[in-house]
Amino acid sequence: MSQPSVRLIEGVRPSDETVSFMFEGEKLTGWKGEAIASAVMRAGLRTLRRTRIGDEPRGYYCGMGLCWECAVHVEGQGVVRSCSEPVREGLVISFADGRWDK
Amino acid sequence: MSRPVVIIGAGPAGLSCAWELASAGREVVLIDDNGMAGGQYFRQLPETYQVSRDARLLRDKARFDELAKVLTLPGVRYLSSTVVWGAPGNKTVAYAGPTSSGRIEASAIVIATGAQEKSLPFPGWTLPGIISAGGCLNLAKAHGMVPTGRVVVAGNGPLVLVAAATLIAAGAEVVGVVEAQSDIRLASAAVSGLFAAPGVLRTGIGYRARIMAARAGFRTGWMVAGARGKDRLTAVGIAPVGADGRPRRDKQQWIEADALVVGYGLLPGTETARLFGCRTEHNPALNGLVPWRDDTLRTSEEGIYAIGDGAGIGGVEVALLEGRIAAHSIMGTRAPASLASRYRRLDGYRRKLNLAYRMPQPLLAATDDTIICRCEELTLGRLLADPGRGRNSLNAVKTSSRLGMGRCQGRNCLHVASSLLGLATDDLTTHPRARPPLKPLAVGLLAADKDAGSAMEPDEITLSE
Ligand code: FES
Repeated sequence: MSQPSVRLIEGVRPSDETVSFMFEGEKLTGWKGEAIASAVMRAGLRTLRRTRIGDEPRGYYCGMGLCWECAVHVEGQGVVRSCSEPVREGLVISFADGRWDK
Repeated sequence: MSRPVVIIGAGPAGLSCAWELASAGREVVLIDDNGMAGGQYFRQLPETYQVSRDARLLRDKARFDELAKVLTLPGVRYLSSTVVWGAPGNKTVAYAGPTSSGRIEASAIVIATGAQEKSLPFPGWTLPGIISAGGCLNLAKAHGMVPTGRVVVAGNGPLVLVAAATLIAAGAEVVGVVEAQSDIRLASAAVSGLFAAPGVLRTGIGYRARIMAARAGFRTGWMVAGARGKDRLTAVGIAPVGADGRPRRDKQQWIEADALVVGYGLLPGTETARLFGCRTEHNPALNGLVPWRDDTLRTSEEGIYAIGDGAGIGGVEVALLEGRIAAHSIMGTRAPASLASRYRRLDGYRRKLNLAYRMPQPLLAATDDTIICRCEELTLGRLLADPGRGRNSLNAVKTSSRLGMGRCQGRNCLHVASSLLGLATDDLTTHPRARPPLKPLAVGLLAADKDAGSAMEPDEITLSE
């Protein structure tokens, strides 16, 4: 894991309550109410999905629900936009399009 | 029971329209596909977050709280996380959401769906670490975050300065600001007044002065030409804008960066208006394709109104005023004279501003192996070779290549594809139509439609006329 790609703005206080969830096999922690993409980027991961054909990394891009570059698969729920979907305790999340080569 | 007014979009325009109607006792249904009201401009942090008074977070919270009180007024039904996906005819709206799915027959429909950002595909633009200007503002406003490391901001239009000023104020390390328009005698004050929260305004001017003084940091007449990195961005290539609207790669320079914020302008989002059969026209002063409107803000269709950025880029102040004006048109009442004159002034101003930023040539930075359609992974080279191109029709290219047929439904690529492929942009009959469902929907939500029936496609509406 590398350095977080985002950091909290001074003076912003997230919830004290945390939740843990799985992202691509890694156990991560988020704040209650935090968007999945925010928690993943804080953990130092930039890639939110990999493309079907070229297996290229994609990340948070439009931040407003338009581009679907942040699409992730949530077990039992389907594909959601991680820029707006909040983390919840116990979520099992993986890349939206899977890996066709594996 | 009388039919309600249905407002699509709970951003500044939709909320302000709902206020005016509901406070006069009219019934309103406000439908928004976001989980929280406010649109992009009034994005708020999750309710579980707190903010200290001296937080370096620029947002217009007090005004939003005031405006959002409309959601609790009697007579206002607010459907959040709900998509308007079809127009089954006769001023009827088909909607689907987590709490209910169905049809509403409206006395009037107000389309207030806002803007989207213009894409500028360039080599490497899909790398993680490259985010849109709106995405950057939302990162701060909705998530309380800024990118770490060295940040470059590049684009064309008021959002460049707004994004840069917001980042600086929030403590990010901005190492370069790159604006494509070289001739910007832009009234920063007024710019920020239309597009940014109070506070960004002063910061914007101060910041601009500072980067001007530092020289190296702020370039006008330059654009992004490429990005380097393997799994993440590591460097941004910038170059002067050539007379043909392309970067002069012979003069390209590389800036080491961890994040790149790109904002090449805003476009009115017109899918909903087109779905409802509203006539559209190109208007450069309003930043592109817009629904045709008369003085009352009514579209070509009886009882259907279009307001805010989705009807022409103008920012938050214009949107708030248009919401009130449309409400008066719907009620058949006269808008107060002060409202009308303020609107005339701002409307004139935003048109001048949009034209001032307009580039003589559309900017093009893609090379043959640049991805154009992010969802279907189609490169420019692949699209240039597409047989559909020979028919000079974007729709033909779409059908044969799958351009614009992925999850974003063409919102990222279709508006730039015409100029990249050298196709006629003015002939709208060659463009893909807005079709139901307007956005990807879970089948379960559609299946829950309690008033199910057929939803015509826009071209069927024309055929049956
Ligand atoms: S980042 Fe574009 S939809 Fe989430």
